[in-house]
Amino acid sequence: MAIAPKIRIKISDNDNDPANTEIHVPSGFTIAQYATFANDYANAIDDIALGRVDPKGTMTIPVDISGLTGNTVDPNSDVEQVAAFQFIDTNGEPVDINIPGLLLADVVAGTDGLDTADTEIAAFITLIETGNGTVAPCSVSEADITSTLYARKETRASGKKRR
Amino acid sequence: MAFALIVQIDMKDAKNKASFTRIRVPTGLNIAQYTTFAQDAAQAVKDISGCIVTGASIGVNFTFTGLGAAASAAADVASKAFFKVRSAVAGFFAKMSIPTFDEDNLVVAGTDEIDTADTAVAAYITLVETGNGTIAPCDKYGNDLVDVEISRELFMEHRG
Repeated sequence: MAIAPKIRIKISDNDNDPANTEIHVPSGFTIAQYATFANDYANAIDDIALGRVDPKGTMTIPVDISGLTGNTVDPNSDVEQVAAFQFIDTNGEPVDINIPGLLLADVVAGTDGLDTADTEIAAFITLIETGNGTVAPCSVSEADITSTLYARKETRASGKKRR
Repeated sequence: MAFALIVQIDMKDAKNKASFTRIRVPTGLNIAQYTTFAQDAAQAVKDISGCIVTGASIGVNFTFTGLGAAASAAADVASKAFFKVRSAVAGFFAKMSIPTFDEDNLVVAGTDEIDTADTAVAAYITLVETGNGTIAPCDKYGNDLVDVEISRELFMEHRG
């Protein structure tokens, strides 16, 4: 059963302690329609709440991944082994993307550099630099990503559960 | 400044440890286009990771109008309005809790019941039950919400 999109609104109290409230909405609408509903909902909450309703909200839209191929877990996989990429946007600013569970076979022997000639590493870099023909990744400020500064293996403690 | 959307891909490794990666994408496209990109990105990520991809999502940012006024002195995130809403499918519900609920003015005296006759509360319930004319809320599985069954104030310690 598919999971519906979810709108999240943050409210802070007089001590500036934050809390969130969420509501699900059906799929099949445009982003503009969701934005209108979210605005209506946030204002309806503001009318019954005493806290500061954050004027910025978010919506999470689940994506169906049932069509992925080869989507199984490797017995040696470890989220602490990270493929760390740093890209550069059109403003010259760095954009970091980290992929957990790096396959160590993709690391150039004797270095921590990733084998960018590997077909799958190269495909990932191309997807980030040029997109999929419709959507091209960008920085947080929407500057287009243009090149790769580095691609290397890093090891990072996964720490506490993050979600 | 507009803020880019986020494509998030969730993964787990052989020890069942969870992690994720995020890729930002520009505003101005439609959900179908973002969905296709997210699926392409999930496949590309899977191809270089030994983890299993457990989920993917698109994160959209909204900016609301008419909001952002300072919290009142009595605002406390532990004071919540709790709503349990029945969906059109028997046995399926949605639960909402609204932090910093105005319990001094919107609760029926001597009870923990929310005053559903109050104009602002009634407007909120109508929005949840029937929507804004275009979008009507639903439960987690997309079932239409039809009736608020429980509405009461709660005091729940926050985790901060």
